[in-house]
Amino acid sequence: MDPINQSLPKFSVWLLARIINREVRYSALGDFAEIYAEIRDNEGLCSARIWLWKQILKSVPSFLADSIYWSGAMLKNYFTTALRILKRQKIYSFINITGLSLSLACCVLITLYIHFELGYDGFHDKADNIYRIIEIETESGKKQYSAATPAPLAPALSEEFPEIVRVVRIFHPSWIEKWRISYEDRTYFEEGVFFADPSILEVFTFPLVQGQQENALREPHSMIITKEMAQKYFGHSNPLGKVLSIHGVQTEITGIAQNVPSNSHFRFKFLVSLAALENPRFRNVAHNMLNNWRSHNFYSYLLLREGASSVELQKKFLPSLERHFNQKISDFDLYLQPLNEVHLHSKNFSYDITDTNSDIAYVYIFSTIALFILIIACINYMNLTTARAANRAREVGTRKIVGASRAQLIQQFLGESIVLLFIAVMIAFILVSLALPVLNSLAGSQFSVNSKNLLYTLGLMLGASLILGSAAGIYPALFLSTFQPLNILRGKLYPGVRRVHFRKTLVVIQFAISISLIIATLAGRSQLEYCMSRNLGFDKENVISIPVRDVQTIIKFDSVKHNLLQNPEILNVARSSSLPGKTIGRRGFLPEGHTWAPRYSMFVDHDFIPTMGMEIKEGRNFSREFSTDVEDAYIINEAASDEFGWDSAVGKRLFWKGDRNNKGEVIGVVKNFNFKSLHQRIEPVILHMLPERSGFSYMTIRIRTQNMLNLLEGIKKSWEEFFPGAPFEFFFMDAHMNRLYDAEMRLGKVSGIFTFLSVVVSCLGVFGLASFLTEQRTKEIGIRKVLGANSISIVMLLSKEFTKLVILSNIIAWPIAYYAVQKWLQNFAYRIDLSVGTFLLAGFLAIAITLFSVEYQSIKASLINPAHALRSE
Amino acid sequence: MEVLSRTEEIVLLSIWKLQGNAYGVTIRKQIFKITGKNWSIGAIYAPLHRVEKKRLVRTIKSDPLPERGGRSKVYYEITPKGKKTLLETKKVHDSLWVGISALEFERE
Repeated sequence: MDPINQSLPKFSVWLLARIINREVRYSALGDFAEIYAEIRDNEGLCSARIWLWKQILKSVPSFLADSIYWSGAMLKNYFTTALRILKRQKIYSFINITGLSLSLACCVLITLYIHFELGYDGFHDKADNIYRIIEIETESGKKQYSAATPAPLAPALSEEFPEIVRVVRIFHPSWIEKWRISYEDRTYFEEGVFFADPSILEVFTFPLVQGQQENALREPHSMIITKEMAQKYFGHSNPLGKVLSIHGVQTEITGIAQNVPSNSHFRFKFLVSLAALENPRFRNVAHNMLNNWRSHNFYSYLLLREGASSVELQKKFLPSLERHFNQKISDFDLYLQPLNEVHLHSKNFSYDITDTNSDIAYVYIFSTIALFILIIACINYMNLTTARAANRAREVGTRKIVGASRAQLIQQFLGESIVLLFIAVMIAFILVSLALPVLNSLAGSQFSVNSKNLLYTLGLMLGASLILGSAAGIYPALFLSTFQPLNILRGKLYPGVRRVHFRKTLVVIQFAISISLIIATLAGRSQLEYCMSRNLGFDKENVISIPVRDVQTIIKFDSVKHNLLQNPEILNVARSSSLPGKTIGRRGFLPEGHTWAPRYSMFVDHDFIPTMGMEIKEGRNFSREFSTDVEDAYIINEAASDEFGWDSAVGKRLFWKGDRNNKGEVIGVVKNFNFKSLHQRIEPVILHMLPERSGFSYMTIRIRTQNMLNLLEGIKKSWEEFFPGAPFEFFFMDAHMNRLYDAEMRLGKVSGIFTFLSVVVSCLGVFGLASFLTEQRTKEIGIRKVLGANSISIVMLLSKEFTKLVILSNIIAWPIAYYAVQKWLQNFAYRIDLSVGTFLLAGFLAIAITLFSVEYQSIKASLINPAHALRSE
Repeated sequence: MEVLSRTEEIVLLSIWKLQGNAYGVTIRKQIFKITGKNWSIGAIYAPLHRVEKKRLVRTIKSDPLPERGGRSKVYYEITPKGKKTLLETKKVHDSLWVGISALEFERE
């Protein structure tokens, strides 16, 4: 038998070999083996094992003490050297630390943001098994996604498929922004009112502070409110059992929930049992919807059995529906969207439960920016370190001759990078904590560093800095440690100079990145400006809109209107069921010679088109002279006329609800107007008339005034006369339309800041590099001056090199940026053409900024008295 | 003149006393005999390594032995320099103790 195997257990040998100093390992291992064998033979294997492990444990300190002591001494030396170098070369240290800490801070901020975005809805215990039903309609070959489903759909599916454990239906109509909620004599208009099945508490994780989860929403007129709302309405008294009225419906509070976390895709403040919708008082809110297959107004969530496949399941849905209705269904399908995709993958869904959904593209955009900033900072570090290599060549040579191995030198340089990084990390941490509130307010988000993710953040920073440190440090370390000591000490070789090409390449990459970011920012900005200034087909300036929340407003509309029009600054007042930029409902229409389909439609009155400043292209507006207009007249937009294939639309028949007995007729065509954001193409829309004294949602006022405040005050006064106690709310049409681009605006602001920072960091790098190169050429400049060169030619000489590099970077950056920006612009149906000007401007900016950083050094160098430069030879 | 640390001195003296039979295991036993304490193997090799580096001992390898897992014994032997250093250390000890009588010690 092999004697080695006969003796010590393998693992202990391996372990001992790690900890025992190389020089005594052989003989010490032998001792272990000998005594072990002796004990084993005398006292048995078991006590030998015990002895062995006790010995190993006891030996560890003394074995390690030695190596720690020596490496400690070296570490101390490295540390001292690192600090000395930091102190001696203040500018470089400053540039490196600033660059690194800025970029680290950016990265951490961006990572926190991404982490927040990706973690949406992750707090639900059963998140992995929750899916949302999405309807897919195929209209003329284009898929339309909608999150709203009929109420009976989910229960019907659940009955048939055992994979579905629970069903939650949520009702949150987008056409009611605020609900009237009163308690005793106080009335508020509140957002965040959701109606839901009682199972919501079982499927989702919304822990109750008070009340019982099992029966909190069981009764038809029961509701749960959040802690925040409990505080608002009841202060310190116990809210359980109290009764709030929602639009006049008495509802008992049966539970208090924790405030809904900010990373939930829907955030309720009031959660009412879905059965309450049966109440006749909700008739104008949800008339006969609960059993109606035609009313697509409910959000359906399914909890699937553990391990059930949503893909398999959704395939079975359509056949099941066909059986249910006993007819073939075409151009329609259902899709199960996993809960964790709701926030980032619902961009094009119409009728979504929330309007705060983000887009996975932003996550990608920001990750790219973070990566870019890191690369720029790394390049700075690599460039400055290798550029100064010549200065440190002597140190490397000396260390090598004294006996440093290459591995030790690499350790040393990596160590220096890490020391530098730790300083940068500390500064970055301060920066992050300072910048977070600013970023939150800019980005409109609510993530923060708190006790929960503090560890994560710290870990993130350490991880990032270690990666950064090795990435940025490894090249200089490898490079510096290759120096041949003899050559260096003879003063023959300045290896730093040799690496000029490599450094130039890095500078070009750096600037290409910065320039791309500048171009993207500029292009994004001009697209946004375009969005806000484009002619939308109606005049959004000087229009005020008042959301109508009350039956009183509807009843008293005519007198209010009459009263308002007394004011010469008020030109027109109109009613409508919706407005551009708000959700517009779809109703089924059958145009003559075309097919039936749900189409966008709005109820308006005679004054709507003039008030909005829309243009009639053909035919006429609704008129009071024709009493039939109320029932039978339609005005369509150009897009509708085109889609229906009508050359002359006026006089064509249009059947509402597909009922051919309706006498509907088109009386006019209105010029296309953007009733959605410019992301979307203008779609066909049909305007029909509001019957007198029927419900409407917005009162819109066209004004012309020099003194806006006075006018608003006046409107408010008459409002309060008519509706005492009701709050006066309004919005300006232009601001409201601009809000459609909030997401882009935020993206623009935030990425603008990061772009600026990346430019700053790369400029710092160029500044450092320029000052180093100028310093190296001091003698050359001196000689040139002695031979008659003037200051200007020397400045030119020094700037020329960097200018060339920046121009090269431009050439690289332009196509890349062009491609990326075009890709982003695809999101908009109406977009700018990228102008050459944007690219030239970015290039010009980059050159200007570079020259600015270089010029300081070169002017300084050119003004030096050559005698000073040359005397010290 | 070089003064040895106490552990180095103990290790060196043990090697000297073992008269050519000094290797890890025997040194450890010898130290147990002198001090009554069971030093860990690690604790022996740290000073051993140091005195070897200072060239106060030199090593001689035996043939490989099965009971050592196929490894040789590494015998330690005091060098003349080692002996000299031990003597010097002793001298220092002695002169340190001069003037302190056993009597005074007891009075404390």
